[in-house]
Amino acid sequence: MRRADIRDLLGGLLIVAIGGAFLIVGSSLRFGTAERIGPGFFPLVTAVIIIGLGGLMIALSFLRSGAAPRISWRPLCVVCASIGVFIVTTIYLGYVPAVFMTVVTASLAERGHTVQALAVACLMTLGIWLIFDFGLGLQLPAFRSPF
Amino acid sequence: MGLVDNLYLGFETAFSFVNLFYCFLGVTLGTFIGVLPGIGALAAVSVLMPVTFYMEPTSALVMLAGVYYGAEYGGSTASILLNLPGTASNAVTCLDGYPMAQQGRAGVALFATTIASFVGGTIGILVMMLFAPMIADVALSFQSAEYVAIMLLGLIAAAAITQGSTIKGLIMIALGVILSTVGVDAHSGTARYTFGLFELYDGISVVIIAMGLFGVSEMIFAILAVHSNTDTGKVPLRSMLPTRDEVRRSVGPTLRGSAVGSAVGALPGTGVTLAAFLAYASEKRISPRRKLFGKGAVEGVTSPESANNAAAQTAFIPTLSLGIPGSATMALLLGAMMIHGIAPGPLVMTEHPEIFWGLIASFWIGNVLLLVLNIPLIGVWVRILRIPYRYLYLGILPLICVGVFSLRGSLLDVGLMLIIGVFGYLLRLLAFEPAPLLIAFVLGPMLEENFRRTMVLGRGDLMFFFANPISATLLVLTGVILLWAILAPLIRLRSRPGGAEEGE
Repeated sequence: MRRADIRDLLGGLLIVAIGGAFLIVGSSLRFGTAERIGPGFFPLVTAVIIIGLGGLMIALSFLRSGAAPRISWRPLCVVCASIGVFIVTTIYLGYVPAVFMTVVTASLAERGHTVQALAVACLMTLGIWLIFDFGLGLQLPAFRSPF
Repeated sequence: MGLVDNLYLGFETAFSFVNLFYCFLGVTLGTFIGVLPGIGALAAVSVLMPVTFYMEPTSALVMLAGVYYGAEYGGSTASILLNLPGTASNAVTCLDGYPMAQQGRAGVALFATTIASFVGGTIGILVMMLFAPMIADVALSFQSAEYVAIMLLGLIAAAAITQGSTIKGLIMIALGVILSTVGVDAHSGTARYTFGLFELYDGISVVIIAMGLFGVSEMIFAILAVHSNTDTGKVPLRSMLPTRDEVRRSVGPTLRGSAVGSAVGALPGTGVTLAAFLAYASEKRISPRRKLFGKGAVEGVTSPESANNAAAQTAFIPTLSLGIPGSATMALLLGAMMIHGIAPGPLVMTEHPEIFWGLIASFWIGNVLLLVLNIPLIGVWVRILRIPYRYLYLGILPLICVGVFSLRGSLLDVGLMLIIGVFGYLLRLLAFEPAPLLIAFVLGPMLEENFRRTMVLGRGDLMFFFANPISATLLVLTGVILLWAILAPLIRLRSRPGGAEEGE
């Protein structure tokens, strides 16, 4: 019986996993009584609902057939890398240089077009500096020295 | 205060130079961002929200509201010219708008859209002005049980009405609610799901959820999905005017669309997309020219466009007077209000009348500005659409990083946004709709608080929810919608033997 909607099956499994995680982590919270519900009541009840719905999804996925979804790895990795670069660069150099590094990293998603990408990087760096540092006077480190 | 006095106060506030400027800025930026394919009102408001933190509450709201309905309008430009909906609600506009463009009547479509949007927005504002105070009065009689009931109604309606199966919508609602519990529980002082990180004690900011779920995940989707930009050609002013016959045919659909939009937009949980689709579907059913729909009928453009602008305005009714957002974007605006220290709800009208009526007056002004702005600028928008997405996302990515970072100066927030973004990408790959999660996330704390209060009042008896006629009716209505949403696809499935149905 290979007939199943793989996408919904995977979705259901993910949902059950998430619900389970919330349930396990939240199990230490006080549940409380019906009259005075504790901090654990809402999250745990919701987690159970999530698990239930996820299970339903899994069950129903066997009534249909469907293809598995495909992850676009390159954009995914590039976006993760770019934001990671933003975080690290901000720590050491402040957020304005971080903008430059982020754009450069992000442009790696597309082969070629390096000149235009660099142009955008410079433009964005200048723009962000103008808006956030010069314009809004953000009390955050725009430029920092790593030394 | 009478209506006229309120309006006077409102216009006084809105016509201040500062607010006029921000209205103009918001409307322009909103239209610009809304024109960019795939990036809609929600992303526009998310991206610009941090910028507004340093402004006066009224100005901030005026600008964000301007961004919101400016983006709704801008989205239709991309829909018509490139068959790429700028916002989800503009997807319906593509159906007739793009064929019109292909027949060389792009200018007519754009012009008709502008006028229809203006009429829809105006009617929506009128409905808002006349009925918001009434609804606010009703709202003041709401107790905690009624709040729980109406919030559940809104959430279930949102889940039932989104694309895809209701079960997935319900899952997203539940996820939104549980994510909203992250942080220190105000009532008991217990930390929930914080993993010892003190940055999480205040919970996750709604901006992070929005930018991650919509911005980051959208980028991952769109980066490599490159479309070759079709040659859109020049759009001279002369070609923008519709024929007399087309004008005549547009009147009915525009008015009917506005009516549908006004009604649907005011209901909590439903949204602009629903309004546009319902208007189009009903117009198609009653129009003598229904065969032409989908092939470039001007009615197919004016009806949904007036509907979604009317809905965009009336969506403010539940937000402002009841404190319950009518859509995901409204949820964000609600969050913005709370960040500025304004607790939305029936008391806003009495405690901050200048904000409420100033906002309404600014809607008027904003709609006029949209009209004035967009007709000459149609040519400019067309040229911007020629920028390949590979450069657009390079600009948006650092902007949202800095935006989120500027919330609290916390890089953990940026990292959290990334995690949520990846998560959002996975969810969308698995055919989940992210919007209900956002609505549920904003409503979650209120839902829990009111539920707790009701349980205390009712001494732990769940039947207490049915003690009051209002809450009982709302809960029954919620149950009906839920059952209908679950059973309707099943019935269709049964009457079509062997048909694989998108649904339960």
